[in-house]
Amino acid sequence: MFAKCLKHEMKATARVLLPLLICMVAVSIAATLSLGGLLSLESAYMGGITDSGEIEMAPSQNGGTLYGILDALTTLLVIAFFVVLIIAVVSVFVLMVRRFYTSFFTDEGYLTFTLPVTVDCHILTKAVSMIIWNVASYAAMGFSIFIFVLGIFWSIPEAFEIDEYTKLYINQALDRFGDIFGSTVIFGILQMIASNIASFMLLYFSISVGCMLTKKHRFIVCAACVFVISGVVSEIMAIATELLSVPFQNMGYSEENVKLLAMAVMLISTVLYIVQGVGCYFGTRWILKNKINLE
Amino acid sequence: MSFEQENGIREETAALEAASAQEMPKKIKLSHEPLWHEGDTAVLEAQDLVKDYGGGVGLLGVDIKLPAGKIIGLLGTNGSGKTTLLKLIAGILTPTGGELTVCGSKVGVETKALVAYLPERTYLNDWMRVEEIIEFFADFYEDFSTEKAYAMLKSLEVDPKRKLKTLSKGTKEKVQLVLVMARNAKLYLLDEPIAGVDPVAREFILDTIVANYNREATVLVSTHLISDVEKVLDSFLFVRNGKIIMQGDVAPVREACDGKTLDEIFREVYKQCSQNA
Repeated sequence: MFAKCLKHEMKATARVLLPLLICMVAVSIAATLSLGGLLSLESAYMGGITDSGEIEMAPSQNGGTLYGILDALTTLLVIAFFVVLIIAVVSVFVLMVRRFYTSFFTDEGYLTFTLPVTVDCHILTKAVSMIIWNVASYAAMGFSIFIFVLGIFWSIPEAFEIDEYTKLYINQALDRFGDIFGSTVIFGILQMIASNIASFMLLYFSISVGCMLTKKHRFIVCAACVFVISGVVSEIMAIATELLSVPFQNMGYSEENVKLLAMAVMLISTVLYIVQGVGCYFGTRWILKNKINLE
Repeated sequence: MSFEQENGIREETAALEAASAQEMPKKIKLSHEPLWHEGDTAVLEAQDLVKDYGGGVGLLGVDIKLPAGKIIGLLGTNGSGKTTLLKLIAGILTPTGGELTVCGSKVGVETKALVAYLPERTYLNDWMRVEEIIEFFADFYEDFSTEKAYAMLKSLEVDPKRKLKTLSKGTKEKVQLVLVMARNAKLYLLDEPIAGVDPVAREFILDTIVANYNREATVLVSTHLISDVEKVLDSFLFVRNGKIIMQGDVAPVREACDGKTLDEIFREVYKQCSQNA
């Protein structure tokens, strides 16, 4: 049943998100090509004195038609790229929250709750679809930015030259923290995933609480629940992290201990995010199982 | 006063009494004849079922046991508790108290696979095409017959390629009816299936229900349009203020009420109850 639920959930969300992500990649390619063309035109002839002794200005200075069009187009495409980037990220968030609300608490709930599917399966479907779309949006975003940067690098490679001072700074940093670099990246990614899932589970739980409390003005009540519950949870998380990291804080000051403390804090907060996610999951499950009352 | 005169007055009085006795309707006994009999398969059983909405009571201790293979009318005025009962059976409301089982199992995932529910509102995703919704139902319900669904769509003249948002309200309701009746369910719950449609469409909908339901299943039809549905009903439940006030098989009850229609019996029973309240 889970596979069937996920299939239909992906179908329902893909019709909105897939075109958006494709659009983001397409705009980034168009912006890169346009920017590349513009920079090539600019660097191909920098201006100067011709053989006949006339002064010729660079395309950006003499206002050539082609350059002007390309310039305007590039500006538009670069702006569009960043706008689509923001829209895509916000859309994934909004759609995931909206899908949860409409599937369970509006007339669509008549369909959801009459299917021979467990509440666990319903929540997991929403969570997995959220993870898939988050990963897809980050991947599309990363790919778009990569193409954009690659385009700049291809047009003006000198822009990516690192000066001696920066090289020295990077080498020094690697000497001091190189041994924990790999683990920091891994823990960082784990923490990011746990935090992402936990925040969505918190949103799901808050919406469920809001809809359980009232049938009128649900948007306001749900928003208030999100505000209050996330406030309380983040306070608890901060206190718990502080308390759990006390043994590491009392180990005395040394570079090794600072590294250990940093790693410990990352690990503790990852575990706490997992606890938060699991707690919110069971809270949501209890409400959907025992308190569902569709109008 | 002469003997003839006295005799005349006596005759006149007797005639008046007889006339008034004829005008005075005989009180209908609020019978609770069991619909389920020993040896019948019980499709639905509710014991002291209560639904409290907080502000108002939806159901006040309902006790029913419904057999398989019957079309049963759940009849009552608006707000009497018909929809609440159907929603509880379908599993989209949580009961405040009491027991509710479908084919011996408590309402849950298992019973949802056996119950085909037609709510009184449209609940399908507008962006979907009719054929996509059919695929959706075929995916989730093992007892769903795609062939039957397409045959019904054809007879109801609904194009499966069309998106729901392009269909009229009446056509959307037809699609929902098709989705329910294309199932080989054990219990069909039809909430006001003929409300808000014209008399011709009512006939059409009732014919579709009667022609397509699983003969071993029970159909529980909720409505306040009794005259339209009574010809298809085997049994009935009268609901008033969250309680079952009368129940029985249609034919014997009509016979006991001097051949009155179910609609007339319903009106009189409601009048009686209102006067007693």
